[in-house]
Amino acid sequence: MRALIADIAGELRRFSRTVLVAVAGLFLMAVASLFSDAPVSMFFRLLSLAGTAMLLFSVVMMILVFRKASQVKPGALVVSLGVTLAALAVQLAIRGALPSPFAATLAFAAGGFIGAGWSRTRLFFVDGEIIRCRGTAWYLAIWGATFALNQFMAALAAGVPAAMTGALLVGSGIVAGSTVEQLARYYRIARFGENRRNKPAEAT
Amino acid sequence: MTSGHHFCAQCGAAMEPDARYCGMCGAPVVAQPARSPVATPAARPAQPPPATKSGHRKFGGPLLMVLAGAVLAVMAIAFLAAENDDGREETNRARPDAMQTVGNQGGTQTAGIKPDAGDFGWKPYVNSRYGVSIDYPSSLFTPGEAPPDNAGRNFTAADGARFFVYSSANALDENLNTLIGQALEGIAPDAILRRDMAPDGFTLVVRREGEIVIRRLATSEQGTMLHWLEIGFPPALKDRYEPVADRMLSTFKISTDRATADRQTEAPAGIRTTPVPPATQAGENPATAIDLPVTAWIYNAPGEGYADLPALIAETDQLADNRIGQLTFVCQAAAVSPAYFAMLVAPSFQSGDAAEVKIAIEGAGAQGTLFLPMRDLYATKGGERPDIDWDATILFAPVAMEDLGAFVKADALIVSAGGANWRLAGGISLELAGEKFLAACEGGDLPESNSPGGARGPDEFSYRTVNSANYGFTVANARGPAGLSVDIPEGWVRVPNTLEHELIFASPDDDPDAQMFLAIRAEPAQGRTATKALAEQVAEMQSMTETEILEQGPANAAFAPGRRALLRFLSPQDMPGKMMDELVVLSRGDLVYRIELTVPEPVWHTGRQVMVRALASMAPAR
Repeated sequence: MRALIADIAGELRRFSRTVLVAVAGLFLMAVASLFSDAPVSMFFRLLSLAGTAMLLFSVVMMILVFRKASQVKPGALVVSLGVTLAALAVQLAIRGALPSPFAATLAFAAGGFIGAGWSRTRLFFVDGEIIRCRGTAWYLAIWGATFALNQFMAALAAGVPAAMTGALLVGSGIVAGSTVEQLARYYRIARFGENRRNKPAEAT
Repeated sequence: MTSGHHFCAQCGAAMEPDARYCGMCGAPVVAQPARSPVATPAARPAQPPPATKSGHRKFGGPLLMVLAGAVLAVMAIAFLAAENDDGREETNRARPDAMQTVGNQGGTQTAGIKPDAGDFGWKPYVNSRYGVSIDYPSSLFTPGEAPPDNAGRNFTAADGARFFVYSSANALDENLNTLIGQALEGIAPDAILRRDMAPDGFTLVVRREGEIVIRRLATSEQGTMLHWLEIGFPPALKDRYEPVADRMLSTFKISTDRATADRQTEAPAGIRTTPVPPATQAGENPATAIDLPVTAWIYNAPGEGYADLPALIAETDQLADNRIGQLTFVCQAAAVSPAYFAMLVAPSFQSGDAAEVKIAIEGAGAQGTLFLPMRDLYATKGGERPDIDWDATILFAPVAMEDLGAFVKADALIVSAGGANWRLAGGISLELAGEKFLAACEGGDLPESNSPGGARGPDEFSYRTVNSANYGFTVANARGPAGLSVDIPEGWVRVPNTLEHELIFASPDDDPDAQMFLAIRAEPAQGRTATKALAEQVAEMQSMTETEILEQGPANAAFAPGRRALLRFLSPQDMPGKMMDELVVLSRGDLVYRIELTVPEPVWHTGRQVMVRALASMAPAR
């Protein structure tokens, strides 16, 4: 647990650095907007362009590095889950009109199923003392399918607040399901590795 | 002991000497001859991940999970959407009739009134500023105080019902989805009873804070203007107010072309209604509007001339076709605040005892058409009617204060009556005289009966005497004293940076279309008579712009003999309208004095007094 807390603290520090960079970027955009005739309109236009660029960049990066073996950090997973749930809470608070608990649970659970299944297409392995994971072709395919599904739902649900809330809950559930599944697998492997180390050496 | 790095056989990345798997691609390290003599028992690898090309794990389980999750997601979203629709269907089943649009059925037919709307004394509310109109039951709702910006009105009923109409600009350029989201903020989904979207607005019916609220948004001018109608009533009064709300919603209209469609309103009881043939809509076909040039808007204080009450009178060109007579506004004291009336004095178009007159407004800050169901003053006994006794046929109608405020800002008024249109243009002086009229009405000094009021209207200036020496007035090469004193209107200021032999005074008007100037110049005569000097000046004017000479003759001035000419010319700066220029040249000693009064033609009747006073008051400086 202590190690997890230390890991989370480290991830939060990294996250805050990322947030600072993002804020600095927003500030620069705001300054650049001041030079136009309609600063507010220009700022939001730049923000929209930046968002599109980030989306394309994330797609390209996913395609390039999904097979790369990376270290599994539970702290990073916990922080990611926390940010997702916080964003969900803020969005629901802004929308005002909340769905019924049954529908909300159903949507979130559906997303959780998708996320957990998606996570299981990643390969976990132990490299010395480090637990790593890497993606597979199925991982990339399901990622693409959920991305397209999310965009499709957003397009269909435009103007219908209830459906937009449903899409939001499904998306958050995907992240939650994937994160929880990865954490579970991490700790299962970690326990397996410990047990193996603690067992008396077998005679070869 | 291991020395140096390994390299991955799969991707070629460098690896730690004791790494079992490539940190880059995850491929297992191909078995190598042991370098260390001692095998580490604990270094047994975990279950290896599959090679990249051969053999692959089966992902049937995860895929099933993903598919199951996708199906559940679709079900969840469909359930959420159905939750929303259930509320709407329930409301629609409870309402016996869908909303009907009471369409225009011709100018002579009464619009369809639903029998269950009740006889509640339906009256139109018209906001001429934004062109919004709606019928409301006057026996149920009482109007509140109009806001200063005349953007709408609140109405309340004794039983707790209420409604308001409010218009505003869509300053944030928000679309309908955003606006409906804002309207539904804080409303639980099961409290939304109905939601109808339309290309130019929406209607919501919700339960909120113990009442049923009907909210309609109509947009106009391509979404740049927002017009809200909100009706609220206790749920217990649903049976009464639902049909009332239906009618109100169906009559909630926005005038987009500065003239709303023909709509018959209920005539007050006791007044015979003469069917009016469909009038040409004001502004619809400008080519058919008869121009009535307004030479001036005159404010008459009570007691002046024939005015028993403060009156704002449009003086029109008598040669024009002014069958509407004279458009006049009067005010008189009432219980709470002054009552205003619009009148047509001595019209010749109408037949019968009543006529529907429309006044449309042109100009910044004023839009829309005002419906004025006018009545014959002398056929109307008691009730709300101006207390005047003018020797003419008079049609009158009460006018709201906010509508008069719009008139004051207008560039022109278009009166539609008896099947024709008249366009009265003269907004420049209307604003001046109109504001004085409103100030007099609101000032509280209204006579209760036919008592004489103030002696002087705002058309007359008060004056002050100025001495040219105070402004450094000198004339080079003059043999005798050139200074003078003269009366100029109070508030007129000297124009700076003029020559030392000039004194130019300007009226305190910010609007260049209303500003007046009085210039006094002196120069050595050099053998010229006043007549010759005047002729030179007229010729110079004619060379600059198109000039008409209206009058010429001797000048009546005690200061010195001279000649006078009255000119009318187009402003060289291409400003709209014409300018009046009265030139007076006086010959005194070895000097000629040129006095020039320049006034925009619409306010000439006010400005000309300045020259009269100047000539009467001019005297040598003491």
